[in-house]
Parts: sequence; structure tokens; C-alpha cells
Amino acid sequence: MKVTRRDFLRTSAAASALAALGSPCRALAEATGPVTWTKSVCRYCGTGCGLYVGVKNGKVTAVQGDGDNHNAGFLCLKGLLLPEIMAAPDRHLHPLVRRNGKLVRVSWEEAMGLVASRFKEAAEKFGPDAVGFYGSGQALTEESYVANKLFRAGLRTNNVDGNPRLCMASAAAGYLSTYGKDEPMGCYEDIDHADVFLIVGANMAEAHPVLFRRVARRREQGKGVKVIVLDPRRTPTSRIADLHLSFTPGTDLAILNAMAHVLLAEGMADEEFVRAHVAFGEGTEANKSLDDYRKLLADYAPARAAEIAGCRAEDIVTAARWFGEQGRAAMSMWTQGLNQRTRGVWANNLVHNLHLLTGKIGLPGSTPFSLTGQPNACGGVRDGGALAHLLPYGRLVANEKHREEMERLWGVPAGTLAPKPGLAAVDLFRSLEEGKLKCLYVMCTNPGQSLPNVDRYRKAMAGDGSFLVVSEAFHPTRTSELADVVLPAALWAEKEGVYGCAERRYQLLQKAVEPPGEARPDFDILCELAGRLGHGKLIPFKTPEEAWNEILRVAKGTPYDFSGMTRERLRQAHGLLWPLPAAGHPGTRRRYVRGEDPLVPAAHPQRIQFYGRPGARAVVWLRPQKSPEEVPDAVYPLYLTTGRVIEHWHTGTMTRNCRELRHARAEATAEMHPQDAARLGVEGGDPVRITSRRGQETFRVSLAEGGRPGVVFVHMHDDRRLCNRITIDAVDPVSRQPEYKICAVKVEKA
Amino acid sequence: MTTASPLGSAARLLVLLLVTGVGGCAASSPKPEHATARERHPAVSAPAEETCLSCHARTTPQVAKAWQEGRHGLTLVLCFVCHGTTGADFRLRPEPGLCAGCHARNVQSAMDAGGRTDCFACHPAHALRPARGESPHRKEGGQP
Amino acid sequence: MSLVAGFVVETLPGAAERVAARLSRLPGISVEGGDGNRRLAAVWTAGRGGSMAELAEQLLASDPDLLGIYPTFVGNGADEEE
Repeated sequence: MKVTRRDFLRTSAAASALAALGSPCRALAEATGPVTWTKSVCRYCGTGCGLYVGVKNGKVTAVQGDGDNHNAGFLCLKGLLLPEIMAAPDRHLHPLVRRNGKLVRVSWEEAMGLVASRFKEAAEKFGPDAVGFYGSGQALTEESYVANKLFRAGLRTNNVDGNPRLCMASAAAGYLSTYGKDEPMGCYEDIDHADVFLIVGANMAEAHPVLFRRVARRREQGKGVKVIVLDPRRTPTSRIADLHLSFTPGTDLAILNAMAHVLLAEGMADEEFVRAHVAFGEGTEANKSLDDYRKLLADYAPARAAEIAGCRAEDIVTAARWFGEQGRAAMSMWTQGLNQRTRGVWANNLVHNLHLLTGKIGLPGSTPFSLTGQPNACGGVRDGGALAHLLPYGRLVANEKHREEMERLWGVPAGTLAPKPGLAAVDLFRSLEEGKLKCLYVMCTNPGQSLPNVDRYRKAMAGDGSFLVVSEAFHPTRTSELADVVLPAALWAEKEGVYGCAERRYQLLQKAVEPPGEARPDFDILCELAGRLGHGKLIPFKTPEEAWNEILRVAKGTPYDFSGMTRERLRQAHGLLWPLPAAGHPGTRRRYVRGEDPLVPAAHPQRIQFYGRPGARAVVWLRPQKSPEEVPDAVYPLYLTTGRVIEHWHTGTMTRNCRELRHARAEATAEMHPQDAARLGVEGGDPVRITSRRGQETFRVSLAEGGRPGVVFVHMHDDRRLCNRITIDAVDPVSRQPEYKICAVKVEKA
Repeated sequence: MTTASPLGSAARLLVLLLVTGVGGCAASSPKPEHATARERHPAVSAPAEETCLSCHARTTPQVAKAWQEGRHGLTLVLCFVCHGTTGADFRLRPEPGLCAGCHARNVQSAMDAGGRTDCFACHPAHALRPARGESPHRKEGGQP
Repeated sequence: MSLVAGFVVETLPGAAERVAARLSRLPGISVEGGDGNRRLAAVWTAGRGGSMAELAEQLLASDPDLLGIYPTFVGNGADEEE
């Protein structure tokens, strides 16, 4: 090995400095020695920022944004503080089992033996649907895949669901009903080309900060770029809004229809595009016409919609004109404001309608882009098919042909896969309550804090008739405290696997450090469980890479096809966008677009092919304004809405462990408009009790100038003050996603 | 194992005096004035609805305004990211290496250009812009 | 022409560990050892160019725990390709 001149100089330099120190001279514990950097991805939101994990002496000491990934090196404050979550004092280190009402430490052997025997027993005695799996959009793809395969093909139940049901189900169903296929067709790069941004039901500044930065940058650098924000509240996102439209919660369907009304009335519709690529439908049938659509929209003239929505008609018109202006690229972005609704799927459809009417889709900067909340809701759960009605990669439980395909791919006898979809999140926990579901395996999520109307389901989880297994990196959480078995799980940089973020980008998280105590990756735990349940042949994987190789085969030939994303390629790359069907293929920035999407034939006569739907026509669905499940009345006169703040993520189990964040808005407050506070006779800091038909909780008031009178906002991150004791567990009839965003409350001095 | 023969090119190798104690050397300097204990943040008990910004908007309004109207204010790089908490880890002056968390390439190019570790010498604290002086940062491909 | 330099860092009593942590976060700087109390030995490998005097000045200006920076060795012209 040749020593370079540079190496020699370094050695000389070090020697001279050390000699100059005199003796004694010891290595400093933390600081000496090199930092090794391992390429990975942020643990938090669906933006999926690439980063490097810095390790020194076997510990994660720093992170650095990946300058070669889509985030160009940027991270938000939560990502930057990730190192602090690793050695948190409440890291769960040893398996626990409940005995005589108390959780006691046991060996892995004992814990896994108990889990396996209880699940086996329940399935044998009460049938396969007596057991279930509730997974997570934070689990690695390989982990969700193993669970999915084990429960469906091994235990033969379709009771496989996950927390993306609570955040993305409406977006997924929206894409599916409109285009026949889930997932956005555009990419983050579209931000750099958009002329108009329509941000609706999303607080990007706090929930997707690095993408928000990109939008703000585009607005700064582009010519005449306009940002429209639709949100009852003025949030930090509105700082870049050229138009902020506040409205009564739940009336956005009317506004979106009114925008479409204006687009048609003022000749901004692209009639040629509509003729070539669009069908019209109502309910579930695509059997309507443009004329039928016009008839529906006649009821949504801006003035009428403004009346319904409590906003100004001229603002609706402005929004429509900015969006529809010819020659200007338009990008929509949305999250829970639209998804967490009993009409969430409809709300999604209406955003897609605007793009389909104007033809502003599949072009740089023109795309309807759903923002995903979790780091792997797309990759592991939506794409991977780990939801009760799905099979992997676009296949459906209810489709016989799809079941046969999966049975062949999985090497199980025909008829193994049950034909009936399983239970979706809220329904799964209701089944636990009823006693039909006996055993539930909860992985990497915290339903004891995050389910709507949470006290009801906490009771079910704690009940004697339910056997609850929780795999968690932290303990106690509001879920693990209710469990019968708590398994210590490895966290983030302690394991290897793939995450798929909002823009169809799959990326490899490489292992950087060893897990502490007896914690193990969920992948290992599930593989062991499979073996103990007699399904070792079904789950033969020794490493996540082996599972990934099988996943590539399962996705091959589907519209997701990412066969070219070998493990080695993922190691080298800084994320890759599917479809990517062959080695060497660069990945796909824009789906459905000829020349970009490998699934569109090169000789296709038009630039767009919505190959997901019959006749390659996307559907403009006729959806009327419909009220939320529960609106204010005489007894409960205010709206409660819930959401997030930048300092914390989800139920706060990770972020509360960061020194800087522990006291930074960790406490959930009742954010009230000063008018409402004054009427109540309270000031900032005063305690108030918020009550709904379901429950109550006490919070201190914080005054929000940007709030909307009549609307109270509480964040979801506090494990002591649970907004979900108050929220409603009504769900969208199609997506089964709960309406966290809207319910009726009364607020009183406490 | 062969090595390069560095000592043969003595002319290119510049070895300064080996310092055996606390000595003076032209290129080094002991800290002039305030080499005192690090500044501490005054003890505060923060009520739930108070943030760094809400208090500092009252106590140091110019700093708060400069931050809020600058890029970090817009993208919510909140106070504690650079300054730590109000406890023992409080840093009056953010440490230079921290900026590398998001701005690694710019920190690197400034270091390369001449050992410039004080980002704030050119980027006024909080406001960050306009940047002063000639830019040592290399322009590279990719997103701005 | 890029630079490789060794230097001793003198800190306030007891500050060596935290100064070491800060220094080692800067690109190109590695901390080689110390007395655990108030002195460190470090090496700076500059990517391009580089002036020890400038580095010393900037570090002293920005870190209140630093009392002095004393180069012990400065080598020039150590480009990787050689």
C-alpha cells in the first residue's frame, strides 16, 4: 500500500502537535478519531430528505444533509436533531410481558414463545380473522412486506392494516378512482417549474419544511409565481401566500367546485385535452358527460360557494383565474386538510378535476401532488399493499386474478389467500372492542394516542379479552403501556432497509450503529415469529436484502415495476423514482407521459396515456358539497381542528427526547382566535376545558392571530393532553380514513 | 511498503518551530480581551404558549425581526437550532461546524478558501443577507 | 496548493472536551488528542488553498472557550494526486 505524500504530511502534523502537548496526552473520549458517514434518509416526514449519519465510537453524533439528493443538503430542525433520539433514556431495551397486571422483563425466547402460541391458539380456535396486524408508514419496506406475507399467506387473514389508513387512505383512493392507479404522477422537481401553487389543507412550512423551502425559492426566483393557500387558519405557510383563502371547515368542496365553475365559464378549460383523455362519472360509474358536469357546477357559482364557505367570491375567482391562466404551469399540494375527512376521497377528486379540466398535468410544473406524511407510507404500505383491501403492488384482495398471481408468486396453494378484504384501522380496533379480534400485533406506531375518539379504543386495547403485542423503540408510550407484550425494536440508523417517500422515490437506509440492549430490527423479529408459527418456508429471509430481491420479483410487470432498483444500485444512488423496470433505466419523473414513463409506448399518438383506466381516460368525478359528520350546534358551538407543529413529529415519542424540543411547544395548547378567547373571558395561558360528545381534555390557551374565529386548533404531539379524546371516529365511506380535522366542541374556563 | 520521499523536497516542506510550552508564535494569538466564561442565558421559566421568538420579540426586537424577515425565519430554522436551549447548552455564538448540517458544501468551500470558519463574518447574524465580501463558495450543479 | 497543518489548541480550563467536539465538526479538522483539560492537538487538511493564520483568527473570534492556537507544522503542496 502506497503512503501518499498527503498521508505523510498528516501524520507528521499530528505527531508534531501531539509532541508539543507534552505528556501525558490521552485521546479525548468523544472527539478524537474520524467520523464515519453512512448514507441514509431522515426518520421523519414523507419528504424523505437524504442525509448522512455521522458515527463516532459506535454512536450517532451528527447528521448532515445529502447534497446529492433532492433536498440539496437541506434538513429541517427535527432531522438535524435526530442524533439525540438514539440514546434516549426511554429507549426500550428488553422484552416485557404482562403478569398479574404488571409488565415484567423476560427473555426473547419467552416473549416470542408467548406471542407465537397466543396467535396460533387464537387462529385455531376462532379462525384466522381472530388475529391481526397493525403496521406503520414508518416501518421499512422489507418489514411491512414480511408482515403482509406472513399474515395473509401464512395466517390467512386479511386483517393487515396500518397507520397510513389514518393519513393517506383518502389520497390513495383519490388517485385510484381518478387515474386507476395510486401515487402522484409528478415529482419534487415540478416545484422548480410551477408558475402557480395551490396549497390546500396543508401547512407545508411546519409539516414539510424542506419542500416549503423549495416552493419559497421558486416563488423568489420565478417570474410572477403565485401562491394560493386554502386553509381556515393562517399558518406560517401563508407567509408566502399571494392569496390566502380562509373558509368554514368542511366547505372546501364547494370552493373547489366553484373554481372549476370559473374555469369552464371563462374558457380556461382545455377542451381538446378533455375530449382526448377525460371521462366523467358520478358515484362509482364513469358514465356521465361534460354537460352533466356543467349542470352540477351550475350550483357552484362563486357567489353561492362563497356563501356556503364563508369567504369572498372574488377570492375564489382570483384563485381560479391564477390556476387556469393559459400557458402557466399549476401545481397543487395537499395533506390532511383534505385527507382526514369523511369526504376525503371526494375532496381529492375535486383537486384532480382542476388539473384534468385544464390539461395542466404531466407537464413540468403542472401536476396534482399529494404530500405524504410518513417516511414510508407510500413505499411500504400503499405500494407494498399492506392495507386490508390490498395485495402488493397494485393488486386487490377482491380480485381473483390478483389473488392467483400472488399465490403463485408466494408459492402457496391456490385458495390460500382469503377473498374478503380485512378490517381497516378503526374497524380493526372496533373488532378488538367487540371481542371478535383476539390478538393484535402493533408495530412501530402509537394508536393509544393517535386513534380518533381514543379513549374508546384504549379501553379495547386494555381489555382482558385482547392480547396486544407492541413492538416499539421507546417505552412507555400511550400504546405500550396497555400491551401484554412489549418487544424492544431497533431504531432508524440501527437497521437497514428501504423507504419510499412522497415522490415515488425509493431510497436505502444503511445501518450505521448497533441497536442498544436487546433491541432487534422488526425484520428479524417478524422472521423469527414466522418460523415459530411454522411459516419458515414462507419467510426464509436471512437479511432484508433477500426480502428486497423477492419484492423486486413481486413488483415486476406491475405499474410499479422497479426491477432495476437492485440493492447495489440503491447503495450507490441517492434515491430512485419508479417505474424503473430495467438495469440502467434512469427512473421516471413523470408518469403517464410518453417518453418519460416506460409504461407508455414510445409510439403512443398522444403525449399522455392514463393507462390505469379503461380507455386510458382519467375521470372527472361529479362530487357535491357535503358537510362533515359533525358540525357546530347550540351545545357544541365551535369547530375543533387538529394538526401539527414543526417542533414535533406524530405522537412525539422521538422528538420529545431532543433537548431543544422537549420544551418547545411540546405541550398541546388550545389555539384560539383572540375574539373567541375574549368572548370566553380567557387570556393566553389560562386553562380551558374542551368537550365534545366523546370526551374532554384540558389545555392552556394560546392566542392565534391567524386563527379563524369559531375554530380551535390543538396539536397531536402531546402524550399528556390528548386531542384525540375529543376527535370523532367517523370515517370516509370509501377510504375509511377518520375525520380528525373537524368536529364540534364547547370550550369552557377550567 | 514504499513511501514517497518527502524529505528530499525540503524546499516545499515548511516546518515551523515545535512549540514545547505556551509560547508565542507569529501565526498564533492568545485571546485578547473577554476570554471569560461563556455567556449564559438568563434563567427563564417558559409558559406553554411562550416561544423563544415571542419573548425575544419583546426583549430583543431587532434581532427577532432580523431573523423573522430572513431566510431562517421563513423556513423556521428556530433559535435553538443555532443557540441551543436556555440551559447549560446555550451558545451565544453558534458554532461554525453546525452550519454544515445543511450547508456542508458552503462550509467546506469557505474552509478551503482560507480557513474561514466564521460564517457570520460575511453573513450578518440572523438576517444572513446581504452577504458581504467576495464569495468563497464554489457554484456546483444541482438545486440552488 | 493545499495545506496540511498540525496545531495545538489552548482552551479555558476544563473546556478541552467541548472545544474538541466543536472543532471536529468542521470539515477537514481532526482532533488527535489532548490533556483532557485545556489543551488539544489537531490537524487541519485543507481541500484547497488554506491559510493557517486565517483559520486561527476565525476560530479565536468565534469560540469563547479558545485561548490560543499554536501551529506546530505546516506542509504545502500535498495534493491527493501526487
